[in-house]
Amino acid sequence: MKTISNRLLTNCHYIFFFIFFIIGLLIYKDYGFNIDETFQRRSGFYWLNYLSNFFGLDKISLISSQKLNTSINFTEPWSDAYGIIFDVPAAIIEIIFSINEPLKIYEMRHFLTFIYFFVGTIFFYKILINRFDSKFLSLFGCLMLIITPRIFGDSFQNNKDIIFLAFFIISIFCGFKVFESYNLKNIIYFGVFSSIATSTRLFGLVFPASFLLIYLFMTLGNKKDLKLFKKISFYFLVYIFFLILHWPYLWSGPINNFLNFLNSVGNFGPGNVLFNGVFYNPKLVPYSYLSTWIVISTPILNLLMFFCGFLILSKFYLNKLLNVDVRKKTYDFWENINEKKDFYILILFVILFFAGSFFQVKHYNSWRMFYFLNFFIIYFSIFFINFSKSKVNKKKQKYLSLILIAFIFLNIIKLFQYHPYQSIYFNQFTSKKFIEGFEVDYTGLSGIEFLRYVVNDNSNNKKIKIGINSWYPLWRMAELLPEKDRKRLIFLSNKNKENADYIYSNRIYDVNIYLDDKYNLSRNFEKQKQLMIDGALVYEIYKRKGL
Amino acid sequence: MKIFIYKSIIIFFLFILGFYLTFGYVKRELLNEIDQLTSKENIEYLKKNLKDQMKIAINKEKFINDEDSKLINDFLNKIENDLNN
Repeated sequence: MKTISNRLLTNCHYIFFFIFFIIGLLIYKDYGFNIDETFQRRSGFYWLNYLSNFFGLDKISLISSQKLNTSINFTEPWSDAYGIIFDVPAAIIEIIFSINEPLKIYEMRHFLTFIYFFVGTIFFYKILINRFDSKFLSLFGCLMLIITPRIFGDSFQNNKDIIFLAFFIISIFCGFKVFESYNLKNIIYFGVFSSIATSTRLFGLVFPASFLLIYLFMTLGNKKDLKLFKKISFYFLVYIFFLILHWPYLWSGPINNFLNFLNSVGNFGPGNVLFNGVFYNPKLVPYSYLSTWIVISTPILNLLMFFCGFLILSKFYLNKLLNVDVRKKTYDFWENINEKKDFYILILFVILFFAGSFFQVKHYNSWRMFYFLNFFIIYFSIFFINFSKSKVNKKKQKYLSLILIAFIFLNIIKLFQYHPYQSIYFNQFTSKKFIEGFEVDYTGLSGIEFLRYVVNDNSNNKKIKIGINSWYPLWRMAELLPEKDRKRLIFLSNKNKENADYIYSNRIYDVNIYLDDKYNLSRNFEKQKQLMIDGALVYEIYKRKGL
Repeated sequence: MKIFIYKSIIIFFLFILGFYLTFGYVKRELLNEIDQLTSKENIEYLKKNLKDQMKIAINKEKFINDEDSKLINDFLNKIENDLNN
């Protein structure tokens, strides 16, 4: 009996990830469809077509060209500048497995997004075990990350920010490995993965910048480290070489195209965002934008432990800074490898949070572009638990464990309550009235649920006219319905919405509705249904009176 | 030298932070105000309001009271006279 329990304990990480994988496998079809997905699918086929032409693969070129032409009708300017690390593999899978039915295509993409996230969580586990050397703590950290509702929900449909989160985590793991040993293998891995992170989201540029900063601190503490200069330079060579190699957009003119991309980043995304009841230009949101979003949409457990961990760590390094003139045997900011890793994480967090709050970064709806900050939230939380373990007695540890378990259960309950809309989670700090001042279903996950509802509500074979009372390309979702249902749907433009039978709204707007009457509705319609979860309105349906 | 570099880094960081929390903050608030004022929706809103007020004025039996109409009339006459001379 003891052997079995020992074996279970030894292999608990395998069991944990196996269960997580099975859960993902069982529920990935439940999720709605993100408006960005068509956009990214086109990017995949565009670059697959380019690559197959480049390498003379005629058959793939032909198929990808045909598929490319099925991905049109964008309300935003389409760009070819995105990285290919998710989109091209997704396009290849679509061709290899001959997936032609739109619903199956998007379900495959959802599963693939989940796989990337799954791999990311394995590396997150590796980071935590590498740093804290505790299987239990590492698995607890993974659990915290997985059951963070917005991350959980997005891990099945957000094929941009979740992919970046995964590569961000892998890059940090490789960074840790480099700190342990500056050998060629570790440097190459770090260079490759940090370049992939950069092509996915430009925030990946933080890796070479912070790596250089850490090297500066190393040389200031120990002159002997100057001889690592060649290896540090080699990292930059690998980083730049692989960035160009795996990002075909840069092939025709690496520097110019990269600068063009930097300049054009602000052209994408929404025209305005609703924050705290006010419509803002996404480039001019208040400084409190990012921190407010983090505070209202992150589980309270994560927030509390993050603050404690962050404060303890900051105080520790502030003391080091104040004593920097005291002669030491080791480095100024760290005495061992673990302190160096913590310092690196702190530096990364400060740079990214500072940039996200104060620079004119164009914020897309909510803080989805900064979801990778969840890595830091959990890392500092686990640091806090690890720190508390050594500071409090066994009795208090028991109480702490009970509190943690209670909060974890609360989070799990929330996952069930929100399913499959975990992506719109708001924590207990918020009230229904407060949430009304923020965007909720900004990626239009509810669109397909609405269409299915409307089709079922009209079981006769009559045509159904659909109006859209929000800034959302609902017509893109129609292809996900069976053909007989799809043919029944007629989508009306905003100007003609008054002729509709049903009107859908997820309350996402491209204009300031306090000034513009574009989204006003006449009295010919009455609200038939709405989906409200935990005080957050996901979508509402209006039906023409007398229909 | 080491202390000098550390101090430089700290001063640089504090300077940037201070800049963003003061000038940067005011600049963003100003840009925001300008952006809101000059936005297409705001201009349309003002135009619509102006038109509505004009319609109200047209439908009123008397839009300008006698005292004001006399004053405006005298003022316009004065300008006309000055321009002719």
